[in-house]
Amino acid sequence: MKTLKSTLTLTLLIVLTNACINKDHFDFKNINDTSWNPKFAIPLLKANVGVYNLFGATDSNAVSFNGKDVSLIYQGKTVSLQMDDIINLQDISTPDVQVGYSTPNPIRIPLDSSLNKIESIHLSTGKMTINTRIQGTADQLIFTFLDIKDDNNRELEIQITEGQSETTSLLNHSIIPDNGSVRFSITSLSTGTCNAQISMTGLDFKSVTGDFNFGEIRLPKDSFELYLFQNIAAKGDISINNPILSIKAKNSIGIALEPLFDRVESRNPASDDVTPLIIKASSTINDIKAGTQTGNAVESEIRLDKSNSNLRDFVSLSPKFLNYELGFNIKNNSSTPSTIFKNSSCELEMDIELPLEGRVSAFEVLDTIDMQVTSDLTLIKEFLIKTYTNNGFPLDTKITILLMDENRQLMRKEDGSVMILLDKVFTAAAQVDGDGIVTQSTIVSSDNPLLDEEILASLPLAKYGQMRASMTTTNDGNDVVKIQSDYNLEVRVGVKVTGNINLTEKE
Amino acid sequence: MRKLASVLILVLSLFLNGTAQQDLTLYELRAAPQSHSLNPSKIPLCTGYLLLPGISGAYASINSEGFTYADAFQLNSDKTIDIKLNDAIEKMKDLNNISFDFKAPILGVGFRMGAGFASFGIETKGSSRFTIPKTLAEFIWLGNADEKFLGKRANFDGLGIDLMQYTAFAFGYARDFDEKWTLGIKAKYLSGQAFLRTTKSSIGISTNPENYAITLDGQLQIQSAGVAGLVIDSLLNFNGFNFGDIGNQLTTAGSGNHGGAIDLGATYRINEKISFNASVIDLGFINWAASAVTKTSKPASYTYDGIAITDVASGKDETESIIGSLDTLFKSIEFDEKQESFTTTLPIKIYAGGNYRILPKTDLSIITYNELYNGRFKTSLRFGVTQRVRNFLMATLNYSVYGNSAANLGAGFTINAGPVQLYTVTDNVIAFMLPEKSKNFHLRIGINLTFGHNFSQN
Repeated sequence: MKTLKSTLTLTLLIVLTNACINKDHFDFKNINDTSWNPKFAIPLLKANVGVYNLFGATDSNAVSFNGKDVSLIYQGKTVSLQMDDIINLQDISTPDVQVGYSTPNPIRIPLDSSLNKIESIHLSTGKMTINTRIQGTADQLIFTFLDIKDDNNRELEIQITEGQSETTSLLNHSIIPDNGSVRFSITSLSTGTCNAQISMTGLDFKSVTGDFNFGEIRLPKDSFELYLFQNIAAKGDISINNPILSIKAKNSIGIALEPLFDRVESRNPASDDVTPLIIKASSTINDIKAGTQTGNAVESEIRLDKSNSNLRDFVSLSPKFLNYELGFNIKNNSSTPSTIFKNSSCELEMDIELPLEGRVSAFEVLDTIDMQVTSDLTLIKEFLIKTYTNNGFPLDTKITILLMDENRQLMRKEDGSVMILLDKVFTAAAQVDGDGIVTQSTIVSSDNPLLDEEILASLPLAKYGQMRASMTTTNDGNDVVKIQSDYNLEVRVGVKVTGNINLTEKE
Repeated sequence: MRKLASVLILVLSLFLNGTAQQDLTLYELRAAPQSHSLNPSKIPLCTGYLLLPGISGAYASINSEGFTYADAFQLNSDKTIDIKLNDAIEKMKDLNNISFDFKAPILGVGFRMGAGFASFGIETKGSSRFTIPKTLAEFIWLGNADEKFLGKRANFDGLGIDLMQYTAFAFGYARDFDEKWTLGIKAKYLSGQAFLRTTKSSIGISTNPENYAITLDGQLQIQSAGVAGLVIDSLLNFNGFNFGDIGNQLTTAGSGNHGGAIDLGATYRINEKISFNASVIDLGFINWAASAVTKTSKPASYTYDGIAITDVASGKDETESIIGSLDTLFKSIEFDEKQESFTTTLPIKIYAGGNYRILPKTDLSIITYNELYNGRFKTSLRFGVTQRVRNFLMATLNYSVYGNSAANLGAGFTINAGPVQLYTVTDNVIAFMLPEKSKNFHLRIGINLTFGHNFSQN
C-alpha cells in the first residue's frame, strides 16, 4: 500500500511539474510583429584612376610619359615621296644623219634642263640600238661612245657592218655626259661616211648625280578623320595649351627638302569651318635634311606647335577632317652635286602629340559597370550610397550613376526622366600651384540616401550602371593646369543598407 | 517563420545558459549504481548490479552562459509576446560557453565481496564546448554598420570549440575498513576517439566608416586528433575525404589514442548520524597520437574594399565579389602544421561534503563541487535532503547555486520493482517547470538491474 502511495505521489509530482509550464509564453501565435533591422555596410566598387586609365581609353597606346610629363600621342599617317616617281629617263633617239668616220659626233642627251644639270647616270637597264644605211660599200664600222662606260671604265664599243643594225645592252653602264651630251666616234679601215640612227630605250637608273631642281613637288591630295576622344564618348570642351604635330622624316634622297604645309587644313563637318594648319606670316619650319651620298637615310624632325601653326584649333572633342596635299621644294644650297638613288625616298611619319596641359570644361567620361543591388526589396528599409574620393587631379569631378536594364538601356521613370542612382556627387579638384601642378589631393566623403521610391522599387531590374564622370579644371574651367603621371583619383563606393526582415512572418 | 524563430531562440537560450554538468543530485542517490562513479567510496546500496547498453539510460546535459528564453521572448500582460533579442543579447557575458555533454554506459557490473565492493564498467563519454563572444551575437543582430561597430574592431577573440570523446574501461574497488572509514578507488583505461580544441583564437572585423572597407584579421591555433583530426585536416587542407577508404581512415583515427585516469574516494563516519565524504574524479590524461596535428595560422589581415574596376574607361573589372573574396581569403590562410602527438588532461572533478541523518530514513546533506579544466576553475554548492522508503524507493531534493544561477532545484528518485530499478535525476527541475527562465538543463534516466537492496546502509 505504501509502495502504491509513493508511486502515486511521484506521478502527481511529475504531472504538477508539467502543469507549472506557462503555456502562454510558448504560444507562438501571440508573438507581436517584430522586424530585424540590422545595418550592413558593404564596399561595392573601388577604382584607382591614374592618368593611363583616364586617357588611355582614347587609344591605349596613346599615353606617353616623359618623366612626370604626360602626353597623348596619336600616330597619324605616313606619307612618302619616291624619287622613282620624280625622275624618269626618257627614250632617246637621234635622227638618221650622215656621219664621217673618225670624227667625234655629239649626241644630245635630253636630261639636262634649265633646272637640272646631270653629271652622271648609273644605268640599271636599257639598250642601245644603231641602225646604219650603206653609202657605198659595206664597210666594217666600230662605234665608240666616249661618255658611256662600263663598270671597268671602258668605253662602249659597238661593231657593225654598214647597212645593218646592232643592239647592245646598257646594263651596268654609266653615262657621264659632256656638257649635257654623249659623244661617239666611228672608226673603219676605210674612209668615208655612213648614215646612222642611234637610239637608247628602256633606260632606268641606279643613281643619278647632278644639280637638281625639280621645282615644287606635290603628293596626291588625301584626307582623314581626326576624332581624338571617340572611344570614351566624351563630350564637353577641352583646350590643349600647346598641341604638337611632330613629323619624323627619313630622307634617303641626297637632297635637302623644304616641306610645304600650306595646303593642310582642318574642316569641321558640322559647321564647315576651315582652319589652315600654318600661320603663314610667322611660320618657321625646319627643312628635311638630305640623305647621304651613298643613299642612306638621314632622319630629321619637324615640329609644328602653337608658335607656327593653328594646331590648337584642330584639337577638339568633336570629329574633324584633316585635308592635306603635302608638298616639297628642293633645297640644294651645296656647291657639290647631289646623288639620287633609284630607291631613295623621303618618308614622313606624322604624330599628333597632346601634352596634357590645358583646360577642360564639363569633360565627360562614360563607363558601364555591372551592378546587382538586390532581388528582394522587402528586405530593405533604408538604402544609402557612400562615396569616398581622394582626388589627385586638378579637376573638379561630378560623378553620376544612371540605372541601366539588362539590355544596357537607360531605365526611365514614368515621367520619362532617367533613373539616377547617384546624382552629381562632387569631388573637389586637388590644389595646384601657379604652374598648374597639383600640390595636395582633396578628400571628399559623402552620404547619398536613395529616397526616390520609384527608383528604389526599380533597383531589382537594374543590371548595369552608366557612370558619368564630368570634369572641369579649376576656376570653372578657366585655369590652365598640368596633368602629371603620378596623379591619381581614388574612388570608393559603398552601400549602407538597413534591413527589414520580418521575424514573425506568418506562413 | 514565427514558430521557427521562436523554437530557434528557445534552443539558443538553452544553449546559452548554465554551466558544465556536476551531477549534484546523483551524488546522494546511492540506490542508483551510477552514483558510485562520482565517489568510489560510496558503495551502492545493493549486493550487485548490472548495467546494460541502451536500457541503463544515458546522461545528457546542455549548458551554456547567457540569456534565457524569457529574456528573448517577453510575455506581456495581455498574453502577447514581444521578441526582445536586443535585451537578451545584452545579458550575455563577454565570452559565453555552450556545452553539450553525454555519457552512455555500455556495460556495468558490480558486486559485494565481503567488506568490499568490486566493479567493472565500460562507458563512452563526450563533451563539446563552443565559446561564443557576445560581440558576435551583437554583430549579427545589429550589423557592421551599427554605430557600435562602424569604425571599430568587432572583437571575436576567444571564439572557439573544445570537443573530446573517449571510452573509459574502469575497474573499481571500495572497502569498508571499519565502521568509520570507507575508501574507494577506480582505475580507468581511456581510449580517445576524437579531440578538437581551439587553443588560440583572435578574430576581428573592422569596417572603415569612410569607405566601408571591411577588414578581417585574426590568428587561429587548432589542436585536433582522432576522428576530429581527420575531419579538420581534410577541411583546412581543402582536400576532402577519400570516401573509398573512409572506413579504414576512421578506424585508424579513432584508435591509438591511449590514456589513463584514476578516481579516488573516501567516506568518514563520525557516528551513525554524521559523515563526511570526498572524491577526486578523472585524475588522468589522454595521449592523442592518431591523426594528431596542431595547426597554427599565421597572423592574417585581409581587407575587402569592393570590386576593383581596373580600368574605368574601358570598363574592365575584376569580378571577385565579397563571397569570392572570402573564399580567396580562407584558401590563402597558411597554417604551420605540426604532426606530433600531444597530451591533454581530463576535467578534474572534486566533490566534498557531509551528511546528517536527521531521521532514521532521512538525510540532510551539503556538498561542494569543484572542476578544474584547461586552466579554468568552477565551483558550486548544494544543500539536499534524501528520503528512503523501505528498500524500493529513494528520492532526493536539493537546492544549489552554480553557473551564475541561484535558482536551481534538483530532484531524483529510484524506484525498484524486484531487481528492476527505474531512476530519474535532474539537477534542475525548474528547467522543466519554467523552461523559459531556466539556466540549466540536465537529465539522467534509465533502468538498472540491482540485487540485494539494503537502503538502510549508512
